[in-house]
Amino acid sequence: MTMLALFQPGLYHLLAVSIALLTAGVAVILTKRNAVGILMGVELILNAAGLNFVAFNRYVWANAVDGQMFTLFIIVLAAAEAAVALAIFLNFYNNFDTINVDQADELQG
Amino acid sequence: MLLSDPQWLPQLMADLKLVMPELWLVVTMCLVLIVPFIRKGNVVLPVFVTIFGLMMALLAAQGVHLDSFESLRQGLVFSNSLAIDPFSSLFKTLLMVFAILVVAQWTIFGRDKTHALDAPDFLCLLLGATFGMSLMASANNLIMIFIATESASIPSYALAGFRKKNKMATEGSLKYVLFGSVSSALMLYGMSMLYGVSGSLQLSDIASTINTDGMTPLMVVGLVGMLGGFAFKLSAVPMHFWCPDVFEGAPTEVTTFLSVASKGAAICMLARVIQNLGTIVYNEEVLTGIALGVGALGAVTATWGNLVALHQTNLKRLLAYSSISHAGYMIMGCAVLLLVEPKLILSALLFYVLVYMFMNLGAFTVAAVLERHLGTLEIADYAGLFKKSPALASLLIVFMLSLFGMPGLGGFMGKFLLGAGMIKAGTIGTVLVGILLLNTVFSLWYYLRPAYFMIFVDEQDDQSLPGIAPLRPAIWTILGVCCAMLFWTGLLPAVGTDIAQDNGHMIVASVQNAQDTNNQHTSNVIEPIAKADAHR
Amino acid sequence: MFTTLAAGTETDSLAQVAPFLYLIFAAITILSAWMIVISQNIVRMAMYLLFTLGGVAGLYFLMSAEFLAAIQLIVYAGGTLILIVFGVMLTSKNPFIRLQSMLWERCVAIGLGLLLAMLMIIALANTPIKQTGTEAVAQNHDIHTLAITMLSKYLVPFEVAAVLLLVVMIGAAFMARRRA
Repeated sequence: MTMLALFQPGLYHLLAVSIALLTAGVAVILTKRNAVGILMGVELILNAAGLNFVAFNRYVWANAVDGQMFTLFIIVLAAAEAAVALAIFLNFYNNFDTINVDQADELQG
Repeated sequence: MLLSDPQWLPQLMADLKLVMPELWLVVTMCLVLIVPFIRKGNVVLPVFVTIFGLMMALLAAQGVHLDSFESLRQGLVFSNSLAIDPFSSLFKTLLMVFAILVVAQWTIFGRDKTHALDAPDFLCLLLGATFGMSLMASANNLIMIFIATESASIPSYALAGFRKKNKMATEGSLKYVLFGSVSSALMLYGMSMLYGVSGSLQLSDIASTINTDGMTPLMVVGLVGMLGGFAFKLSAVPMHFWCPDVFEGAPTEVTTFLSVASKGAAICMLARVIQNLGTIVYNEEVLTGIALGVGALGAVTATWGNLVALHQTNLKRLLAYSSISHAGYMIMGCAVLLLVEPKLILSALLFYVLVYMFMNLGAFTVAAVLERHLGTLEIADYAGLFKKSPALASLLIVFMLSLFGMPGLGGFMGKFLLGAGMIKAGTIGTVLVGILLLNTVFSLWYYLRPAYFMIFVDEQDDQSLPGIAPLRPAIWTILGVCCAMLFWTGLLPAVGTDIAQDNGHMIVASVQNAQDTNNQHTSNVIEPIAKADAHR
Repeated sequence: MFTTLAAGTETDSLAQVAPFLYLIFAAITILSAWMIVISQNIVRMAMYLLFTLGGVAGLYFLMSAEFLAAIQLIVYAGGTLILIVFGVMLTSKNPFIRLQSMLWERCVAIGLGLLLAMLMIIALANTPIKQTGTEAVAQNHDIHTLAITMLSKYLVPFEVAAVLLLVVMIGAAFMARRRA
């Protein structure tokens, strides 16, 4: 029972998940060459930020719903950003036949 | 502004009057989208509608800034989401003028079938970006900062890739969108930390948390993360890689627009954040620390931009690196905002944006003309240009000299006013002024390079340039206006500075009052929760 | 243990199950997030992203943010992720191709990530945060409060998001359509 009490979710439990997501997101952005892969890393960081907002809202500043509000806007804007980003990737693919970022070296110097 | 408040409707109407510029932009955006259904493939009609809408927005912004602010709750509207003060209104006025000039430039330069078919899309995206930028100048809480930055960035990504068949444009927009989304994600993570330590999204509340709790490590992480997001918009140094690529690939009009408007809006946003900290935080050590951090960012950006610009051979890339270094100067100006009387710096920043707008518009217009008529942007190819078209070459030299900061031209007055404000900030200010001077001296080398090639290097026989066909009067008008503005602001700076200074101090008053209004508001928010309790 | 579950009131039973739920959702989220890092196949990565998004939705549910959990599932997992999968399918000749990345690159990236995590943990450990939000107060984070807040305090961001979506629609349609 004491083991379970240790995992009674509190602020730091959620922040731990958020940090793990942030780390994974940064690692994805740095390792993947595929533009869509990088976008997935961005989604991971956005989720980490959203988790932070809701956790702080729930466990620390519970008298208003500012944090949840912010997370709602994050979800909306993530969708908007993904739409434009994917349209640009598609256009890039039409021109270059690939979306690997290291092929994008026409402009250097 | 809750529905339970009987005053909500009159208050809403009063608030709506203050966001008229943004409302006009939205209305124009919708009209531009409807216009193709009336006459398809017509350029004149959407352009006319856009310029009309921008004019109305300009008048609205102007009207707001002329109003007296005593009766308007210090210009904090919509539950303190937006701060409509003379500082932001003046910036919006400049932004609208600039947008009109960019639309004019775009209309003059492009003349083919796709141009006409794509006109509504282009204008709608341009208006959308302008809308986001004018909100950035007013954003007063974290949600507004985030959403305004995004609504300025997302249309810009599409604008940067507007020449869809052009490989460079596509590549520029790919880099832009990847850098942009990563930096906005990191900015959000920083913001979540700021919310965690302060419990509010209001800038003034976050600043007062520093007073009560001190600079906790989490606060530092949050501020650094947020500054990283700003650095992307400003193309400040760790986040500057997108800038030259996007500027080279994008159509010249878009480059002009992004180089001035997006950086200007980001500077306004940074100035507002720093101003909030400076007015509310009273711990000198914290203020000096923040000033040092922001100042170092600006100094590194300016120096790096200049160093890399030294060996650029492409005119557009040279102007891109020059815009990075100019952003650095403006960030340095923002840094001392904490330490001196803000009025001086704020007016100097607005003046700088004003001058910078005309310098860049002029320089990029000449670059577009050269690219169109000579088919090259390599500076070495412009040898002997001065003899062939002396007027165009001398105009480019004037714009370059103004970017460098030649006395008598607007660029000098901009730097002078910024330096005059910075020097009052003690040791940090003196060091920053020294960096500014050193950078200015070094930048002379690359700003004079086009002039050197155009005047002193003789044309080689094997690759003679095609002559420049007579330009249309509209292009001469744009160039003439830019040149005249530079001489006017350089020789009679009092005109510009008076306007800027009259308005610079107002933002200070508005921020000081922000806290009171805000405290009132927080108590309002708890009310519906209490009600919901009773409901149960 | 089951007897206590049955005997307790509703909130008590939630407190009883919460540790289990937390462990399950956190494990799903973290494991699938790291599988995205390790995985070399873009389609599998999209699949793992789905699990991560679902796990985060579960955590929102655990923090009594039911509305957000629903939105996360509907908009994020149901909309954005589908968009990404479309992106994957449209932009690769063979979506099941392996993405090569060098071993040292992966090591550097994971090292940098861990450094960032250390930084965050140090920052968190040195910042006192009082956990004041009680269950009773958080109960009020219902859809009613959210709606009132969104249409009063955050009216402007709400409207700006609407305008932004219009611009995004124009921009995405322009970029993705085929015309000379």
